[in-house]
Amino acid sequence: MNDKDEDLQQQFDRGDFHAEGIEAQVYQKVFDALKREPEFTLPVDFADRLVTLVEEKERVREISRDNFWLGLGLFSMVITLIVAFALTEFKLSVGIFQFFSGYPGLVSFGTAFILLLNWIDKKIIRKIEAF
Amino acid sequence: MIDDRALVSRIMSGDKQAFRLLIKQHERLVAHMVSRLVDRNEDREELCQDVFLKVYEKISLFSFQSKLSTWIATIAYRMGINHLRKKKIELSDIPEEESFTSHFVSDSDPQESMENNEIETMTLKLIDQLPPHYKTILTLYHIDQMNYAEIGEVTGMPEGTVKNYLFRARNLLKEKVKKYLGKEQLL
Repeated sequence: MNDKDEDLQQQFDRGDFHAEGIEAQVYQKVFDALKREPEFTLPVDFADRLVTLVEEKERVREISRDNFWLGLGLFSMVITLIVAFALTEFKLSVGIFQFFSGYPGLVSFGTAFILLLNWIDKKIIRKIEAF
Repeated sequence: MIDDRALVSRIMSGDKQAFRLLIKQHERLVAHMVSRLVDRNEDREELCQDVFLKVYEKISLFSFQSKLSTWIATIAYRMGINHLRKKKIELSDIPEEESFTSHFVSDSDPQESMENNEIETMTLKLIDQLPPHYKTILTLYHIDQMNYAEIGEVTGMPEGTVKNYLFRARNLLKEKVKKYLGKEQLL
């Protein structure tokens, strides 16, 4: 590239173009084409779709995280039980269940209460947190 | 209009509306860059999507050392180049050989093209034939109005190289168009 080309290009870049001749005319065409935007455009709902995708990814990540903690909790519980059984030399017997058979009302109430708490947590508390 | 710092802060706090705004503000820039580098529309849209997902993922790392648009363009450029590498597309320098434009200059019917006022279209086709780095620099400079320093930041090239590539590419395009017009006048 020679100085003349450089000078012409700089004139176009500055927007104060004065030169004449074939070189200048051709540069004019090149610069006009360069300013034309590519025809490709993204769909009008591109941003909305992407935000939905991000939300979905976050939801999946959150579920995975919850599952991880649940698994870790269960694993810890099993380990703790094993250690506790070993340390206390605990022997599992059916005696404890015979004790419960004397209090059917208390067992029913306890079960129903735990189910109710879970239902409230699922239907009401989590919905409130979501807002 | 919301400034970059406030926008980034809102996105980091989980505001999806702010992320939607960021996409709207920068989708043209990303589409320009990607469409110059990638041929198929399906690939283009997918790559644009991946660029913005990466932006969302890495937004906490943005340190405001540059404009947000420059940072996003950097991600788009790198992902575009990686896409080309995966597709094993050559990232070479400008080809000097005659075959570079032979398809457009020799094989086509210039008269027919001129009748359809196709010089600009032909120039755009020539731009498409340029190596990816050159196309990116031309797009960022002429369409997205970035300066040499910003383009250097996006592409990782020194300012002098950016300037040199820009002048070389435009000079090459001028020579090819001139040759085309010369043939046209001979007919």
